[in-house]
Amino acid sequence: MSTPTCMSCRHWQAIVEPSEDGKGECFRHPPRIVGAVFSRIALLEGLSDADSSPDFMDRARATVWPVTFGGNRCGEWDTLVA
Amino acid sequence: MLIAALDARDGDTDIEDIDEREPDDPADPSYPEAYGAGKRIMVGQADLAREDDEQDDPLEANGDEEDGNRDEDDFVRHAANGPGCPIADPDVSVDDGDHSSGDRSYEEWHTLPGARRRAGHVTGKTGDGWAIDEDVEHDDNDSCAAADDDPSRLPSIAYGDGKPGDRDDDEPSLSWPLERYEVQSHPSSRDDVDLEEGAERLRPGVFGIDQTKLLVGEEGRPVTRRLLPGEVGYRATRRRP
Repeated sequence: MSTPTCMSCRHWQAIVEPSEDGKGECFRHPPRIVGAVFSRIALLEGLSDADSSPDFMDRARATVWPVTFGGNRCGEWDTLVA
Repeated sequence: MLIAALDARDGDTDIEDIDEREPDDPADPSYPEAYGAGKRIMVGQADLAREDDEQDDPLEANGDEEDGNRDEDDFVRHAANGPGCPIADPDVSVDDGDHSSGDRSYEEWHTLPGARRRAGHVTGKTGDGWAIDEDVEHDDNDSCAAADDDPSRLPSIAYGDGKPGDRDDDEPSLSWPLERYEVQSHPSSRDDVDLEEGAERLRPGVFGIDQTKLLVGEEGRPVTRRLLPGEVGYRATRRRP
């Protein structure tokens, strides 16, 4: 049995080309708002005032799937479906 | 759009390219593209994480790196930046003025003309620290005096022997490679301002620190808060071994 890494997982999709060092997204779960991404966007959008609230586009931009490398692994690994 | 803003921080794209879309409009045809922006950030973060994994030295049980020096013991204090301040870079440290420490040569660094300079010595952490390393001199600047007397405005730097809050008479300060950045009040409102060669206009609200750069202000200290319109920051490049 091959090593259960992202590259061989049915939930993972390479962004460019599957490889140990290549990046891809994990679609095991729906996308979620990631705080760090949102912070970066808010920073770039200048949402520094207390009365500034994130709009739909800001939230959309920060809603992402996890990005991992092909050689990563986790407990949600599942076999590829032919 | 957002990507333009990200690229602009590296000097590749003009900041005016930032898109101003109407909020809360799911019918916006650019909606799928918006997801791409977040994805791109995630990809960038993944690259940085791997880069850090590959370059960090092994750690001792106390969190110190096993490289035979004490520099990295003198971590920056995060709590001294004041309300709303972002996290400072923990790799910035103060040493005892030994220029031979680390892998940088003293001559590599420059002193910013007109910047506030005070006696002291600050160095980046050996190997993977910020590129700030220089002995500096006193330079009177009354406008900074009030800030000096206000402990809440002190930068989150360990002083003296490196213990947080332990200050020597010689106050450390910073110097940096000369990259000058002006924070605009509006992307298009300050085009009449001539910037120095290599300068880049930043948007107000940009934090002083991002993943690869450290901004320092006119006072010669790290900017650990959002810059305000009209403020000028200077970007110190994080060096790699």
